[in-house]
Amino acid sequence: MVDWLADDSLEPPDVARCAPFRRAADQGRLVLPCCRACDTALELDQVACHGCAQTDVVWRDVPLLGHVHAASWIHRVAPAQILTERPYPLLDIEFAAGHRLVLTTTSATTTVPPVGAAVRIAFRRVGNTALPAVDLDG
Amino acid sequence: MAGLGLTPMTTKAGPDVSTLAVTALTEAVRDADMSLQDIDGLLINRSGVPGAGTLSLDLARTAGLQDLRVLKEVECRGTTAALILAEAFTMVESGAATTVAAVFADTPIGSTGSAGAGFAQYAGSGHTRAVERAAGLLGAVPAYALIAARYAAVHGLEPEDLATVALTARQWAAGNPLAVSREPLAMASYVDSPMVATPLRRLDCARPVNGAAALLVTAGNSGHHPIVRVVGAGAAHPVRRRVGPGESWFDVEEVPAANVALAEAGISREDVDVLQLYDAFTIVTLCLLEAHGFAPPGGGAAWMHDGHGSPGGSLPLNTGGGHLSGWYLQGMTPVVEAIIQLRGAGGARQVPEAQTAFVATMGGRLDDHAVLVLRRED
Repeated sequence: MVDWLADDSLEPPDVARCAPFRRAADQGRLVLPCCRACDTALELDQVACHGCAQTDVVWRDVPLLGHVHAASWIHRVAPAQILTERPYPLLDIEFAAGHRLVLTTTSATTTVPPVGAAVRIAFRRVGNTALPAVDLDG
Repeated sequence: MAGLGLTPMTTKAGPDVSTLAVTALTEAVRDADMSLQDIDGLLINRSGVPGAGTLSLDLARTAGLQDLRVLKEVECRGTTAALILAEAFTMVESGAATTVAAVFADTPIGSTGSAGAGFAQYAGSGHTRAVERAAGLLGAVPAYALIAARYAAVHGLEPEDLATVALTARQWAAGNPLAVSREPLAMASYVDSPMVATPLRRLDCARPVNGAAALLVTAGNSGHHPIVRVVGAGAAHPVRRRVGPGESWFDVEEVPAANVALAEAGISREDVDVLQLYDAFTIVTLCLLEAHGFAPPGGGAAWMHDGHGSPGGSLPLNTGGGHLSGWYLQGMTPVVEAIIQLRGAGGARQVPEAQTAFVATMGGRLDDHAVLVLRRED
């Protein structure tokens, strides 16, 4: 199925370190990295914890709920990679454990919730990769 | 500081990056009443914009240099120009070299006449960024739009707040012959400017150019120019993470770089005559005013509305029009304008009796800060 927004060329590369994120998304789950030692939320690429310097990363299931941390509409589209000709939303979503991810929506929309609003997370597919997205239809 | 060399700043495709760099270097040597053969140190600031030609160590050969004691490429995103100028002074003072050239050149504008494609690929690396790109975050503008959106949620931000930055830059650019946008800019024109990524309009964004700048630092000789020295330097790399708690897009407290540089220079903010900030986007000006303590947190817009940075204001800001209306050569833009002002060579935009300049560069998504205090010594 073709994504509503992104051309397949924007499919994230298959990075071994982030395989848990990719596998879980394929199953409709969101897992994000934390430090096993001190439970600090980590970025997807992070290998060592900035809280305690340990290198034991654990991928934890995250509820499919988040809050809008910031939001923008992109008006100047990149025609080679973006499939819509209309402005599209970018939402910076904060999850309960503190992770923040920049996402778009599962489908085209003309409105987005304001900063602070709660949102549901579902998944879209770019190429062969499932990716979290804000679900405004659910 | 003995020599300053600039090429024309163009918004059209032209000479390749090496040719521009050699042109700027040759001009810097001429400006210093020196010869290319006097150079025994070369520091290179290459552009990270994909698709553009990039400088390399080969510049030494291209420029006909020989018997160098220092040859180095430095890379720290938009802060590199400030870092290599400070390093050039350190090398000359320590005797590691006698005459060091610091060079930057960029050619983001190709045959299509647009820099957009190159900058759209300018997104960093790693899986976090790959996920962002798949969401449609392509290039710098959407990232800075999110910074502005978050800033608005924390501090409040009206369109007029961003506009005052753009309008002030344009006022200054009117007096800069090298500026690419010099015609008067009214609020109505700003509002008519197309939205690129909410809340950033086209006029909130820098004007990429093809061009080059070269600086020549040497011991005991400033040519026919007043002596301008780096008297303070500081850097800070907050290492932002996209996790809470706290803000992950911008600094809500002062970063230490400014205080380090000011302490080294033995001055306070009140002693600064001109302020040159890296202003790739209007929101960056507000963030840097606050990060470096020239305005309180959330107070950058009020500082601008009060006219402090405007012509005739208490602390003239980005006096060549900055990146927004002048020309965008990353960190070289604020560094070069500081030198021009301290030399008294600013022509119609010259700030009277400018003796001390504060330069703040930044890189990434406000990830890196490098600041300089420059002083004219009569």
